Order: sequence, then structure tokens, then C-alpha cells
Amino acid sequence: MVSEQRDVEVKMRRTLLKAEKWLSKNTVLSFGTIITVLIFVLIVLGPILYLLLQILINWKEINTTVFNDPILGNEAFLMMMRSIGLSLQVAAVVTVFDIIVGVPIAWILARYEFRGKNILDTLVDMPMAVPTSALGFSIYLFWGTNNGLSRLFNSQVGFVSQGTLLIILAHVAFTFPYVTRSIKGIITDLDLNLEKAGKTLGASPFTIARMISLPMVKEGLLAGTVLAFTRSLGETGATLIVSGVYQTAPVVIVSWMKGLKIPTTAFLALILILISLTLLALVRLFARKVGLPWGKVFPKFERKLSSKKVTRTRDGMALFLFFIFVFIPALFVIIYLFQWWGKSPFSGDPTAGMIYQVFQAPDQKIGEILHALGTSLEIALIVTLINLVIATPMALMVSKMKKKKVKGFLDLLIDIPLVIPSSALGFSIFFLWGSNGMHLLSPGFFMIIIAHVSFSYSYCVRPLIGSFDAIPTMYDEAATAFGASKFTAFRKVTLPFLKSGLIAAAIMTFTRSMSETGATIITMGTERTIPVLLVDFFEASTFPAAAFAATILIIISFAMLLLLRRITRRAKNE
Amino acid sequence: MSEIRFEDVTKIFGKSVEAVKDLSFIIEDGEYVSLIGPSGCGKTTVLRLLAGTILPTKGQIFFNGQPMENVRIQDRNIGFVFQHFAIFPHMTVRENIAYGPTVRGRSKKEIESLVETALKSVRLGDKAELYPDSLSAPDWQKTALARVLASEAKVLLLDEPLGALDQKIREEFQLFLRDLVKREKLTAIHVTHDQAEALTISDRVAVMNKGRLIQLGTPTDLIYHPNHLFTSFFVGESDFLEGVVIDDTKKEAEVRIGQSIIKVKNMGVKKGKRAAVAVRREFFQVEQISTKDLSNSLPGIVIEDQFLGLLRRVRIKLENQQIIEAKIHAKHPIHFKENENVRVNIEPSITRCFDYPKEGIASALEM
Repeated sequence: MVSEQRDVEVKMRRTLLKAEKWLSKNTVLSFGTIITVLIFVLIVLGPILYLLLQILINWKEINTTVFNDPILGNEAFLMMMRSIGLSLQVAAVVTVFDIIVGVPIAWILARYEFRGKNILDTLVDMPMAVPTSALGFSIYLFWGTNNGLSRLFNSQVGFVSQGTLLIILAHVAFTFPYVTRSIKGIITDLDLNLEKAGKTLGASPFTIARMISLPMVKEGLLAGTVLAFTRSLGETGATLIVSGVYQTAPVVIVSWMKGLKIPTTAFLALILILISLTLLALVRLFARKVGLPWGKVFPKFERKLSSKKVTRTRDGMALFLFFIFVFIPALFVIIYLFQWWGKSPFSGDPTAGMIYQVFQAPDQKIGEILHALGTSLEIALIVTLINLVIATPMALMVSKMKKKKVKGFLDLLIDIPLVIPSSALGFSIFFLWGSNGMHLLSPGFFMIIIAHVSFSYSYCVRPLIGSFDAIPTMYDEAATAFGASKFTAFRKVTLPFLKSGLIAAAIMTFTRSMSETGATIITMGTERTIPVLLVDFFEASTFPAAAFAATILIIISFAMLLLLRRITRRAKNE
Repeated sequence: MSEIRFEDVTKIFGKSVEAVKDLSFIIEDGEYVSLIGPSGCGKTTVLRLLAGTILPTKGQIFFNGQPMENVRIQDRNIGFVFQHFAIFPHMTVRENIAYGPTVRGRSKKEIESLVETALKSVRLGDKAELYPDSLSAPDWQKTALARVLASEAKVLLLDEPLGALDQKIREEFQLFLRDLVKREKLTAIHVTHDQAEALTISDRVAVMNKGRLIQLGTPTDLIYHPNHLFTSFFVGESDFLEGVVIDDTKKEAEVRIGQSIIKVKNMGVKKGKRAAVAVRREFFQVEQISTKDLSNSLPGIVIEDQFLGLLRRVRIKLENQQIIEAKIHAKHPIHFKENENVRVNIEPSITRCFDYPKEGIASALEM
């Protein structure tokens, strides 16, 4: 019996090895490479290129609807320009604020040791994981209604009304982690001897930070700044809630799409995509060459800036701004939920409370919420699985690529979904896969999945490239030297190293999919995911129900974040 | 003018880790002093105390008679050369060198002339406009030195400055470094784990162990006149012969080792006490017993005679069963055979006896 079983096992293992040997043939491998690139093109590049192509082909129609509408004239174009202008202004202000708060916090996290440092580190990451619609709603409640800040001052109206200022406040909350994240690691890895050398040569700490440390984090800072800027430029979920009548470009895309104004939407989407791509390309090309032209030093003044008093004030200010503009507003929705738990805190009316609205009212919101939550989880899970399958070979390919120019180009392409507005990307997907293009899908569950795979692709590939880069090639070489085929070596040697990288990529992709609003609205048809449902609740003014949904989202994303941190930390310790 | 004085300096890290203890010494202006000792002996701590990155727990450090207690790193006028050079990677060689005068707010003209002088001094003029990543290690080293020169430092602190260079280049650089320091009239304190380097490059060498200064002396002093058991153990190689002093005058002692009696220099051992006679392995003279009856020598039996390149190592078992190693020149005419009876001649003028440590030789020399 036992030996028979062993025979079967041996046979199976032999078959597996044989299969892997076949898969390791050069022809099969190059076929795999082609498939990998093809999928990437189909899911990420294809929709964008198709959009561009269609606009060029149908230029006449676009020209008419955008610039020469028989009734509206060029009103559509003017509206586009207004919305893009607003978006760019918001993004610019937000980015400046992000740098002012984000850089000192990155410095604090990288250089100081204090109790609660880990907690602060997690809190800083949190807005990146929480769905922006939940974040936007929470921020609106805090600044914009009489439940939040104005309650402290006994005011009947909100502190900040919907509009540009509130958009900025919301965008700061979820974009500033991109700045902090992108430079914290670099600051941690800086060679302290360089700063010591500067000190012994007579420079004050401020001069050292300015002339030595900052130039070395410059590239990371620029990359983070571009991410923050493009995220602000392309955000939909939070903006829908806080914008009021002031429409940013992604919001216009969503509302035109709802009104099925396809040609104008296509044109606006393309403009937004082009702006983001230009920014990405500029930074990639010139980040290294941009110099800081401040060679002159004012020793006395800079020494004053280095004094304990000034640095303490700076650190204190950064932390204060973080708590007052990011942390408290972002989580205020939880307080709100408790305020409105059983009844309205103002009138005492129980039918205005969360319990009645969610669980007891005849429209059965809890059913809707659970269904949307189920849809969201289902989509996120499928998207994560698909992305792991298609991203791993891509990451391997980029990591092993020897031609520097091709590698740099691929690297740039992979970042595209990271920077272009997800609503514009969602629209391109709708355009390519829907009735205007290949006519394979209509808006609904599967189109949402394709859209989500597309914009979360970079979030999956990036950490995997990092993991592949970190694996020493000698193991691979050793395995091959012992006669393993490339595939067997991959399974036996590379994969175990990759485990924590894969899990990290999976969690990132999952969280990103869970939290998306813009692309979902465009591709969803009659389906509802939970971030979209939250926007619906908000628009129907059922705030307690929206707060309930937001809190669920915050809890889920927070759990994901903690999990991610645990895994990445363990990987680092190993 | 840069004379450096340590007065009873103690540095305690944390609660009780004594990194250096009761250090007192003077380094003269223009002197080149190396610090050597086993890892953890406190030599790097001395350098950090001088730089001002840490402050003494007790005691005072003076530059030219001025206490350094409240003088910040930036104002000490010291130049620090790091083991891995710490060249700013985003600046050209010229910008690196100009950094010191720039951050001190010098005028453009002054900066330019300081940089030019420094470039000339280290012979790096042709590479001034290059970035560090296109240079090799020796040029990084030169850039680091020029950067210090241009900052007008008078005291040069060197932390294993040649550690990252290849052996051949290291030897060239020892001469270059010493020449530079003398030419620019700097005071240099150089930490190294390479004894040969310290003995080649320095005016005086400080031997440290367990946070204490054991001996500060010229290279020849350390080799020929060690005044502590640890010095003869750490600098070069020595064997320690166990014996009893049977007659002591002020400077000489007669020590009985086994059945033989030898004369050596006395380092304060009283008559009748146990003594440790320290003999450098290179100073043993091994003679075949038949040549002549040597005075001041010990009988022994050859265990082996091994070729080491420029030297040969002869391992000999003495009468009292102790095994010693004599390093003799490879060209020594006689090849010793196993079990051959020999005499080991001991030169009285360069051999010293110390009080036999109570805790035993091994623990007394523990590092």
C-alpha cells in the first residue's frame, strides 16, 4: 500500500518536473513573455490608445459637440476648461500643503525614536488605505456640517461649506501620505557619515539638511509629489461629496457619463490622461537633472534656523497640522456614528438615528449595504487574483530585464495607471470593451472587474518588482547549476522568497479595489459597490446610513493596513 | 598652533560602560600621533571626543589651552576623514572641497583660492569637475583630504582613513598622508588597526587597552623599550618567559628560568619575585649548541623550522617545557632539524622583565 502510494507520488513529481521542463523551453518562455506584454497592453495601454484613436477618427463629431454645438455653442469646452482649471489649482495647493506637512513628518518618522512611533507611522499611512469616499464624507461631516468642528463653537452651520476649500481639505488628507511614504525610506537609508562630515566642516544642521540630505531625497520627493498631485487631480469619490456645485474635471466626467454625453466625456478624459502622462514623463526624464540652485549660504541665519526652538516649533507644527487637518477629520465619521446611534442629537427623533435608518426603516438599507459589501469583496478578491497572475510574470520580466532603456520604458508604462485619473481610465475601458468598441461587455460586474484590474495593476506590479530585485541571483544560479529547469528553480527557490512580497501586493491591490469610486461609477451599470453606495446615501441625504457604511469601510481598510504592516515588517526582519 | 591636552578624561556610555578612563596626555602642535589597540579599546571614542560628537563624562579636553567643553563641532576647526570618505555624492570634487568655506560664509574669492590650493596640495587638479561616482577610491581619499584642507582645519582626525584602500595603494598613501600633514603643518590623530601603518606613519603611537592609555611613545620606543607587558604583547609578537628574579639592581635583573640564569632590563621587579620576561620573537637568536657556549642563553629542543616567506619560524621547547617561537631571517644559513638541541640567545639591552601578573599572563593580556 505504502509503496504503491509512494510510486504514485514519484510518478506525479516526475510529471510535474517534465511539465516544468517543457515550460522552461525558450520558445515557451518567449511565448509567455509575449502573452504578458499583450495582457498589459489590452488592460492598461489599449483603452487609452483606443480612446486617442477614436477621438482622432471622429474628430468631426467631437469638434461639433465640444466646440460648435447648435444649441450650446462651445459651452461644453468652456466647462471642461473651468473644471480642469479648478482641478489643477486644487492639486497645486494640495501638493504644496502636502510637502509642508509631509516632509517634516517623514523626517520625524525616519530620525526620531519615541514612544508611539509605530502608531504614528500607521496613522500616516491610513488615509492611503481608507476609501476616499468614506474619507471625504468624514471630512465633510467634520468641517462642513454642524456636527463637527462648529459644534465646539456652538454654531448652527458648518465651518467650511462645500466648495474649493473643502475639496482642498479632503484632498490633503488622502494625498499627503504619498509624499511622506516616498521619502521616509530614503531618509532612513541616508549615510549618516555624510551629515557628520558636513558638521565637522562647519555647517549647521539646517545647512546640512538643505545642501546634503535634501538633494539626496530629491528624486523620491519629486516622485511622491507627482503621485500626490495626480491623485488629487484624478480623485472622484471624496470630491463628489465635498465639491457641491464646484465641479472638478473627474466629477464632470462622472456626471457627463451619467448623462451619456459620450463624445464630450471622451474628449475630457483624454485631456486629463494627457496632462497626467506628461507630468509622469517629465518627472521620470528630468528628476535627476533638476538642481536646487541655492549655493549661497547664510551661516548666521541658518544657524538660527537650526536652533532647538525653531526645529521643535517646526516638528510641533507639522504634527499639529497632521492631526487637525488629516487625522481628526478623517476619523470623525466614527464619532458622528455614535452621536446619531439611536436618535438625532439635535431633535431627539429616533427615526433620524442610525439604528432606525439602517435596520428598521421600510427601505431595508442594511440589505443594500450587505449586498454592496458582498459585491465589493467579491470584486476585490477576483481583481486581486487576476492581478497576481498577470503581474507576477510582468514583474519578473522587468526585474530581469538587462537592456536599461527598455527597462526604463517598461517601468514608465507600468506607472501609468498610478497617475491617470481612475474615472478617465474607467471611461476608456468602457469605451474599448463596451458598445463603442469591441462590444464584449456592457457596464456591470465584469466591466467593473476589468476597470479595477487596470487601475490596480501598478499597485500589484510595483511591490513585486521590489521583491524580485531583492532576491539574490546566486540562489537561482545554484538551483540551475544542480540541473533544475528554469520553472522548477522558480517554484522551488524564487517563490518562497517571494511569499511576503506576493501577500503585500495582494493586500495593496485588494485595498485599492475596495476603495475605488470613480472608475466604478462609470463601469458599474446597475451594480453597486460599497464606496459608491456611500455616495448614493450621501446624495440622498441619509447621513447616518452613510456614516455606518463609511465606518465599515474604515474598519476593513484599517485591518488590511495592519496586516500589510505586519507582513512587510516580518519580511524585513527576515 | 594646535596643542591638544587630555586631562583625566573619562567617558561612560549608558550607566556603566567605561569607554575611556582617566586619559591624560599631550599631543604637541604639528605632531602625527596614531592610536592603536584591540577593537573596543576606546580609540574611536577618543576621536569622537576630539571631534565633539560626544562630550566627556569627567575631565577636560584643551585645544591650545582652551577648554573645549562648550565649543560645538562646527567651531572646533577640526577636519574629520572617515573610513569610507563620506564624499557628498551629488557634488563634484570641486563642490565637495568648497563645502567647508561655503558653509562658513566665505567670500567667493576666498573660497576659490582655498579650493585651488587644496586641489594642488593633493594633486587632484585635473579631476576637479568630475562627480565622485566616476572616481576611484584613492581619489575619493584625496578629495576627502582636500575638503578638510580647504576648511582650514588645523587638527586632522583620521578614522581608519586607509582601511578602504588596497594594500599596495595603502602603503603609498601612508607616505603621502604623512608628507601632507607635515607640509601643511597640521596636527594629526590617526586611528588604525594596522600596526605597521601606525609605526610607519607616526611621530608617536598611543597603545590603548580597555579604555586606558597603556603607552604613548615613538615607534622605536614601542618596539625596543616597551614599558608595559601589554605593549610588548600587542605591538609585534612576543613570548613571555616565566622566571624568578634572583638579583636586582636598579636597571638590571638576573632572572632564573628553569636551570639557567639570564640578565635582562628590570622594569621594577623586586628580588625573589616572579617575573615575566618579554622577548620579541624577532629578537631571539637561535644557535646550534656545537658552535660555542653562549652566555645569557637558554637551552631548548627544536620542534620545527617553518618557511614563512621572508622569515622562518623556529618553534623551540625550552627546558621548563615552555614553547617559544623565534622568527629568524629566511636567509639564516642553518636549517634546524627536528629534535636538534639548540641555545636561544637573549639580548640583555632590549629584553625587559615585568612583575608577573597575579591573575596570570593570559588574563592580564586579555583585550
